[in-house]
Amino acid sequence: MAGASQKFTPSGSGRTSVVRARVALAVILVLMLLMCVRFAYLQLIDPADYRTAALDQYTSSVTIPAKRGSIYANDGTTELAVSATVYNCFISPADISEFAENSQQTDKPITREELLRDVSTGLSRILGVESSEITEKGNRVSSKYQIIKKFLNETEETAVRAFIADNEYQSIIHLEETTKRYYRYGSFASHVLGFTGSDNQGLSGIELTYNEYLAGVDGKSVKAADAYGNELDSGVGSTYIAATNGLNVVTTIDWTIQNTIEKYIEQAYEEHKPNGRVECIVLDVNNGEILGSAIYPSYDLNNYNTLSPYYQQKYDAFIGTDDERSAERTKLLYEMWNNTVATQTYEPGSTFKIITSAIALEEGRIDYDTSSFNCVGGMVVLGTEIHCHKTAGHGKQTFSEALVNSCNPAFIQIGNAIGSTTFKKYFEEFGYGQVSGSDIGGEVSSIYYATENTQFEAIELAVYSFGQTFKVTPLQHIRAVSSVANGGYLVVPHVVKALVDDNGNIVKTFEYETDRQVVSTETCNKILKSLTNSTKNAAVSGYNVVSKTGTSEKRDTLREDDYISSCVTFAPAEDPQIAILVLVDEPTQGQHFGSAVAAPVVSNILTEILPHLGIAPNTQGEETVTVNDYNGKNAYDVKTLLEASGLKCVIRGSGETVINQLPAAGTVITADGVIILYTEGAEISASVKVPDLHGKSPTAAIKALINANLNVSVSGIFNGDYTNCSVVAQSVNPGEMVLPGTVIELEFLYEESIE
Amino acid sequence: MALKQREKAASDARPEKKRAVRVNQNRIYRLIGEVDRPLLITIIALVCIGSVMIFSASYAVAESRFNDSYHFARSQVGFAIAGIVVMALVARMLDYRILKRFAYIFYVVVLGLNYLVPFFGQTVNGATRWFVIFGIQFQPSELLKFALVLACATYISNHHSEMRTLKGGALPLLLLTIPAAGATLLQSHLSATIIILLLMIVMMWLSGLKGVYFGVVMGSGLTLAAFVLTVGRGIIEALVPQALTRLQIWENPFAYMSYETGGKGWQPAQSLYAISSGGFWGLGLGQSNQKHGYLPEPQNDYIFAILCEELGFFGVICVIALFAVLAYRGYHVSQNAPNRFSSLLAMGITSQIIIQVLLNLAVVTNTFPSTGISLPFFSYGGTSLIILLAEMGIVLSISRYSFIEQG
Repeated sequence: MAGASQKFTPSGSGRTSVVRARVALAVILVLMLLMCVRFAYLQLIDPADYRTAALDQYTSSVTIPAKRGSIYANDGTTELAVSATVYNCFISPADISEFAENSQQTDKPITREELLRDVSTGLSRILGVESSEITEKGNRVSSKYQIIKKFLNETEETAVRAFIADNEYQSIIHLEETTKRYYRYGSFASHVLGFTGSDNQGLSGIELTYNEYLAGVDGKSVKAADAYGNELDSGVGSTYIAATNGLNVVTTIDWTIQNTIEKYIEQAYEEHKPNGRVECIVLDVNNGEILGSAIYPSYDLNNYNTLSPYYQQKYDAFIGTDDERSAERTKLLYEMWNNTVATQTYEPGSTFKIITSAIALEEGRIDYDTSSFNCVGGMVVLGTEIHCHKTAGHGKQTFSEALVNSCNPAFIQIGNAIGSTTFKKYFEEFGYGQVSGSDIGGEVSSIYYATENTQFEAIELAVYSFGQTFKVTPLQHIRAVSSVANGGYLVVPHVVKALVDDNGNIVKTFEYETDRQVVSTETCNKILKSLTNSTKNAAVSGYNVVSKTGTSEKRDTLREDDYISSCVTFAPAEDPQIAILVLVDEPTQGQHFGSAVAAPVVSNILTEILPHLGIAPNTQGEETVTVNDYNGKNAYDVKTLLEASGLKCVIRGSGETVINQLPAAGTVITADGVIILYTEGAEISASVKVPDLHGKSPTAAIKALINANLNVSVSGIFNGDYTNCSVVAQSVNPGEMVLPGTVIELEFLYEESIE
Repeated sequence: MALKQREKAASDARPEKKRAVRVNQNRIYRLIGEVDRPLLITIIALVCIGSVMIFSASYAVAESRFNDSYHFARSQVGFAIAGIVVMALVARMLDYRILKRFAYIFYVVVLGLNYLVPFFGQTVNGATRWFVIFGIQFQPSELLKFALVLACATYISNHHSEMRTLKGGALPLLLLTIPAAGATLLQSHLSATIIILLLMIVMMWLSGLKGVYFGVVMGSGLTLAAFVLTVGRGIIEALVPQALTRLQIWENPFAYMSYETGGKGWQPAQSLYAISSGGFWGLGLGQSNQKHGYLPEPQNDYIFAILCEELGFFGVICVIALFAVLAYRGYHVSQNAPNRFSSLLAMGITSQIIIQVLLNLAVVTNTFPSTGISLPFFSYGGTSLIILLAEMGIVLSISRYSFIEQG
């Protein structure tokens, strides 16, 4: 064998064929390779669809709602709108069936009907929802989600939780977390704030305009769970993205001012019963901040889908099919929500004479001191006669007199002097004919018929000069006139000044252009000077104010004699800080003149808000004294003393020592008021009958009260000017019996028929 | 003679320390050495990875079903240790020639058990395939595959001169296989039938059946398969409706995921979800989401899908590579086996395992209709693992008897 071991060859006898075995191995390896390719395809090349499907089945995504930002008044602390966590209560009818089924194996079997009855009565008792309604929802057996009541209050929530726990109804009754928008003061600034829908989407007002800031960004919690719903801690695919809370909005709305204007426009509404609305804007003339803006009738923001009583009445009066009624209701809702201060135009009327004057003075078309205008009660322009409100005519007037008189023929002459090209140029420079850039949503432009170089040019210009025929929004108008108040600069009216985070840090402030000068400060000062205290009914005791009233005819209504009574006022006259516009749309009760309807509202509002704004009065109002305590003193000594200081003193009883007095110590009365001293034997009783003072002049009215041993407090009288002035309201009705010395408040109104 | 004795002495002194045993008068020595190391290491590696994967795949199911995360893992690891002991004993002690002696008897006994199981066995998930002996489940069909390989190897090695012909080679092997295939069909164990038929084909190929005849056998088989999948669908639908459904599920498992559609597509669909979720590196060992109740029975036939999800394509390549090494070493052992019988046995056992592996991977990836084929070394099943390791013990044992030297 040569000592060599020979390898055995399998062919023929021993092992299997090498070739066959190799082929078998090769086939195996090739198949394995193909499997690798298959895996590569599934795992590397095209895994997306299956991977997504897998992810979908073991992950569930829950939205973490962002907290909507709050809305604050201009102090940054008074909450006007806030979001709060509340709960909705729902039941799962499918689980009622299952609960009943499972109970059959326990020692307390209960049928589905019994169970549903128990749930219905329990929830009905807690939530005040009709039991039958719950039963009806509970019978939708395949459903797992039937809302029983939304936005539970705290008491209801606690009671429902207890009810669930007591009966082990965890699978049947559920509370789901949600947020609800609360408006702290209901209808307060409703048109400015607007409201938010249930999906955290602002639907109107600031809520809409600033929705992107308020809304925040919802977070997301993705959780991986096994097939039985248990959370997987390994949790591939689990993510948590925290919600970003919305930013808080600081408005320019001053809580006190807004409340004041809302109070007085409601009062004006009740007094004049207008067909339209009463609107009021208070603007900071230096920076365009809207300190208050209100419309009456307003609506409750917390129930924005409920018609307010005014609109409900209209709806109730509407006759039509169900569809028509439904459409009408929607129409009324939109009307109710509409912030017409920015979205509806009106003829500004004589208040526009401020602008006409500014243009004429700025362009030098008239001279403030030397120009004079004659008025014979009317004027014919291109064959059309235009009347002056004073049919007898104002005669020869200086410019200043013509402005105070609000003399239409004079302004037709001034308009003619300006010319239509210049007029239109300034019209636009004052911000009319365009939106103001305000953050009040839905603002519309003006309506202006510019027909240059036609035969109508002169007549158009004539009526434009006193604010008729063209239409502007109240917002545009107060913006334009405010530029006259602040020395000629056009500001942008706005309602939001800053965004703050939850820690009160300012995130963003909103800056608006304030340096666009339209007319010179000189021009402005001339107009301010002419109009200072020119409207007595708009006068504010202790302050000088600049007022111009307007009574515009509504040309586009079919009725005759539809007027908009308005009044624009700047205060204080020395250095105007605020402008206020009050507008009453179609007053039906009493006079329609702006000076009689709108001016007193302005007066009332300014009387309250000027001190609030920290503006010190520069003149003393009516002299007053505070009543001292005279108890125990000699009545006759006191009487001598009081009468020496101008007060009237009456002694009742037979004694000499004062044992009682009226008015009580500390009461403020006028310097010519009455003090009644009681000595022994005198009874205090409501012995004085209040006289009827309506229509009486100030002198007569005050005299009547003093004679009746009553004290008086006066409002509406300007600087002791008693001419053309009469009582329009008294605080105690005529004929009522009161204590002697009682202070009766009298409200006076000047009979000014200035448009 | 002296020379031979010296040579023998010299061979005894070889560093491999091979032990020469005198076998017969022809002075042929059987050299008994160490087992095939790469094969042993590969097997141990697969058993280890398999045990880890059993735990990873099953703990969620075990926790929810038995309140014991280790329920499956503990049992499987126990069987793995027992199996390795069995494998070591077989590899060390067994003389493969004994197997040849009892091959036919063993085959008949196992066949008998398989015919009895439909009548006396335990029913699990609607299939009656198990005997329970002392609380241990035992699937006789597992043993049947091995018994068939053994019987075939015995027949071929005894009649190898006739194997090239159709009558002498193909027919006897066919006749040997038909009872086994029949037994598994009776058990409705289609996957076992497929494996048995494939094993028959492998054994025919290895037997040296003339290429033309082999081609005829393969061709008729493929024709039958093609017929079944195309024209024969109507016939199948009439005869075995569930078989057709199985094909439809295979074509689009996602359409059959819901309870209403029978839910049979759920498992293959979830398997695809799991595989695709893995990506290249996988979600990490233990990080599978699919095993948490989405992929049913993740410790059984579809365990590889969980491996795909947790270890990614990288893990897949590693495991397939291990099986490739196993196949290669099986081939190597077969090629170096002392005689035809052992060579056929080694290659047959190797093929049996690899066929199961490939079919399982094909099922898991929905490349092949879902049939219930477990993955060797991975899928849960104690007795099956012990049988598997015992078979590997046989291959290892054969590996020790290499290089028959002729005198």
